Amino acid sequence: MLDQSLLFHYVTDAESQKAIAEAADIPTTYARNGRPTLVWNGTRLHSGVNPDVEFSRDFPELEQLDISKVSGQRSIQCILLGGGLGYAIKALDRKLRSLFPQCELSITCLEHEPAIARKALQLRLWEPVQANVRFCLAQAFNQDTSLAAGTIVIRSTPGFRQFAANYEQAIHTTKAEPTVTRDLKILVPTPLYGGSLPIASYCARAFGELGCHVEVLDLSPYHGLLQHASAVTTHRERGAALQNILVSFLSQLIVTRAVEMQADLVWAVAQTPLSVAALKELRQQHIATALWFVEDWETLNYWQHVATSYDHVFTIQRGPFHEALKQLGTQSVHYLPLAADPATHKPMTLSAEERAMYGSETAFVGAGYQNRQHVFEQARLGDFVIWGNDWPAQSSAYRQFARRPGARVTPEECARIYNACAVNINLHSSSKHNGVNPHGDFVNPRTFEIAACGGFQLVDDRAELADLFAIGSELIVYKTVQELEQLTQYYLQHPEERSAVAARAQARACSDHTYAKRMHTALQAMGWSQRPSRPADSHNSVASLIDAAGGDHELIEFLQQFPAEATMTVDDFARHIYSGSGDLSRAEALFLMMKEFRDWGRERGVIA
Amino acid sequence: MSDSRVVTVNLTRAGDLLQARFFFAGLRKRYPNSELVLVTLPGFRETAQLLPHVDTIVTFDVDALVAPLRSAGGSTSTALVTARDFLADQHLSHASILHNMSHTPQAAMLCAAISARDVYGLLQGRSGLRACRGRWYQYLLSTIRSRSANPFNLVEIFARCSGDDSALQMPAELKFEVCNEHTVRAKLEKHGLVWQQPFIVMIPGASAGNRQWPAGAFATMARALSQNGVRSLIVGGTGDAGLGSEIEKQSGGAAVSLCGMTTFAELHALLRQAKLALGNDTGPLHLAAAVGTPCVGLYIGPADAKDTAPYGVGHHIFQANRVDGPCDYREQCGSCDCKEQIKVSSVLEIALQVLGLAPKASDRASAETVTTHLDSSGYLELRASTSGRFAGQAAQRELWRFILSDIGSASRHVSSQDSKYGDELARFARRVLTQVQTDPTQLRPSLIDTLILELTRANPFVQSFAAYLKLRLDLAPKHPLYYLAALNETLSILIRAARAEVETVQPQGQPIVARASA
Repeated sequence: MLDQSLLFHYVTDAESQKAIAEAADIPTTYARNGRPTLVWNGTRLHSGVNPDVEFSRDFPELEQLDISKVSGQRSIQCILLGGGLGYAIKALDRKLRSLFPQCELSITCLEHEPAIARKALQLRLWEPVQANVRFCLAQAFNQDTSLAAGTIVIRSTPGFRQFAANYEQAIHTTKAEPTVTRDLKILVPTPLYGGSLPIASYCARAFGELGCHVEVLDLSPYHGLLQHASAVTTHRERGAALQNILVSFLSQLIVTRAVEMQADLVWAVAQTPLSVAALKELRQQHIATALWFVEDWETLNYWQHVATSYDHVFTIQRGPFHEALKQLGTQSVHYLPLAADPATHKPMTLSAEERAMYGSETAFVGAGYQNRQHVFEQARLGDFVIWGNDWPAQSSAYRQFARRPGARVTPEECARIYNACAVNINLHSSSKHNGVNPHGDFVNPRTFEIAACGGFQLVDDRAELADLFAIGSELIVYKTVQELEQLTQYYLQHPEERSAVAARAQARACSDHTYAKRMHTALQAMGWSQRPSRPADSHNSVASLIDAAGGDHELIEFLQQFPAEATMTVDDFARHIYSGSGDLSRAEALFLMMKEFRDWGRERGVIA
Repeated sequence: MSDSRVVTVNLTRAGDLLQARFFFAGLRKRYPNSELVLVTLPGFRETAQLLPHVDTIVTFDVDALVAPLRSAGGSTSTALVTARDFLADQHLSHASILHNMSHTPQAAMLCAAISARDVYGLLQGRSGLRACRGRWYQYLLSTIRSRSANPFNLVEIFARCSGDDSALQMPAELKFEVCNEHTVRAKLEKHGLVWQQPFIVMIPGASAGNRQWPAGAFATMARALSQNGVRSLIVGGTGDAGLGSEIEKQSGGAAVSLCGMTTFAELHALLRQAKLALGNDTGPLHLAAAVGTPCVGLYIGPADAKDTAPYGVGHHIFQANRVDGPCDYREQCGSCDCKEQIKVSSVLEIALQVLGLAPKASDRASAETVTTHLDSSGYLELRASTSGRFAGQAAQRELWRFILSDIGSASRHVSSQDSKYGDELARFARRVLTQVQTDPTQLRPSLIDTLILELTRANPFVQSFAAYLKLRLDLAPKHPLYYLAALNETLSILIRAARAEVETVQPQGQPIVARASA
């Protein structure tokens, strides 16, 4: 018998109530330790020896959860797919209470079989718990009863696998937010010098903000070595040979560090010295690699030699570049525009001294490419200042406008200049044009950085710009030198309009164009946001394990009882084996042995 | 079915491996025509190569298995290939007998995966359920709970685990395969030392700091021995290099540190040539004992001479002890002064005697030392110079051997010492049996705990027997039937022993079983 008041207490939708009320009673069977257990359709859902072990079980979904993303919520909703007799509810309640002590907890048990739900409600093995527990049948779980975004879904249950497709279908309409894995280990090696060097640091910081364990391998100290090596010979081939040796050495540094920290991912921005051989070695070590090519693909074309050796390639240009990459055979190619680092690029209150040092009516920060030399020689831009050290000595514009000729400008100084200057001139580089590049597509980092600083800028037109900012409202764009002059004059005379545009640009940059946003997007693209394991995780799919089993028929037979496409961890296998009965087979013992030694390694800190 | 292949899993350290040499002698006697395979950790391959009767060594690389499983997303397939390849080793397949000499759950599961016809020692099953086959293996496990009451040396327990009662009397000389005298002589010459000149080997390192005699004491010893024309060579691994240098420095050059400079083969040669090995309870000390070099062992902290004294005749041991016996393995060294209990002057006195540089100590020696002897069955007897602290050991061993071996009907000599234990046993048996008869369903672990608590006050033997009993009950599945079966099996041994005891000691009295069953 099932008490009606209990039924109405735990089951709130009419369809589930009716089905559970009408379901047949399952006779109670007992495990060796005298506790209720359950076998359904020939599959053992709870241990036949000691089902109580489930009271203290762990949930991999909670271990992988980015707590910081959820802990801000007042209430935590959790959905348990196929909880069987409900041993897991008590364990889940305890784990949730320890993770979210201040939150209201709600656990919904989705059950495919009305008779199992009925049995669970008769036994109520989980009582008492703090969470609000309710039951719902999978087939009755619809939009009306579906759970809110942010819901934690628990699939590591004894009953999930048997009706996995039904459960997935039932929760298909829910909008559970993807959570970034907390234990992802990422190594970010830096380039030796240049504009992409600070980008590597920004990426690393962003990964850290997302909860990843991140390490920066700063290779900039080796820049001097590269310069020395280059100065040794004027012979081009010998110089290249020396450079190759250095790249090999630096690549090995990266591999060594990645292996030692047991990285899941090596994230390299363009110009990071990572050889094809090293990338191959990382692949053999099952460490994923990603290249963010933050350069113009037509100007710098070394990507042709390395792209296919990376597991993932991210670019700031798409269209023909993506086609070229795919023609080469690069599998995973994604567009990922540049961004700003809010910790560096932010509105600042500058002292009078700083204003005097960094301020001017108009300013440009950057290197002296051909088009910039020409434009700044011609354009009348008021009280104009050029910052940066990479200019040809013969440039008359540089000689005339450079505030600190030859001096390097740090990223922090850049932010002060963007803050201090009334109109920041942003002109994307080109070595083939004398003015604005009419075919320019990607957006440079300066665009996002000035915006994030709350600085006002005039930027040359770029094909990708309109997708990133509202042109005319958040950014003012010029196409010719004449337009640049006119707009400069206009905005120098209209400070309120300047401020309004800058404020809108700043809001946009901070909401949509931070490195944290970009890295989150990248992780999603690599598959790390949806599942708590390696990208594509071909290593752990049952099909790949069958391959790994070689000709071991007993192992293959054991593995073939799982769907080939399922991704299984050692813990998943262990759970399955524990719920079985009888003597251990050799294949089962092999998986339990792997688990025992893995646990031993974790206990001793040998492995994470 | 013939026992063509006998596999032994031993994932312990060098010292434990060396102490297992009679175990392999026992196996060889039982399985004269079988291939004896030893599975050990890669770091101890050289040690394993010394073991007699072992035909094949297979190393199990734990790191290679564990590394791919480093995180939640770790590559199961890579680990699977490693595990599969290991298990597919031709020397492990079709094993008829498997002995597990390790007592960790990992080793137990490894043994389950090797999948032999008969497994002895700890075996892990589904849901963490364990089994331990072989009474001596069960006894070995139970000593973890009753260490202070254990009257056997580890060498003896291991030997009996082989299943052969006479294993200790079998030849078990270490092989000479890994011994490199040539290169170590050259190394000594670099230090201005001559191979033929008398030297002793000092072993100042240990697996834990609380097992180490102070560096200053070793240095003082070296200076004093140097004055008697004997050089001291310090050995150890690279991790002991700092300690070695410190002793070298403090001794003013009287000691020469070779820590981290010798290969295992060179260490072997060095210990064979040494006049004496002086050191803490470590693998090299057991190696010295095994090659017949006299040992002076310094047993500090958790090191207990009763368990792991150097096996053989004529070794000397200084046992630093708290009142309540050696520390627990997991105990941190606190304010205890056990290291200071072993005085340099006492150790020097013995060392000089062993080296033939001083007359034999009188009965009123300055400190208590323990010397090792072997009885007629090959069991180690410890004799304390100034107390009778090991006096009851032989009797205790006799009873245990009777209980753990299937010789219940065999007649045996019972000394008057045994009668005391016999009485205690009888009382214990009667108490448990009465409870079983009154209400078997109430026989729960908590009750056994209560009984044990009451009885452990009795004497060390009952304490160790109670621990053995509890272990057997813990190993049994937690189901009343299994539980009672295990208890009854244990009781039958207990009662048989008690009956033999009572009948022998009190031939006119009523057998204890009759009273217990009434």
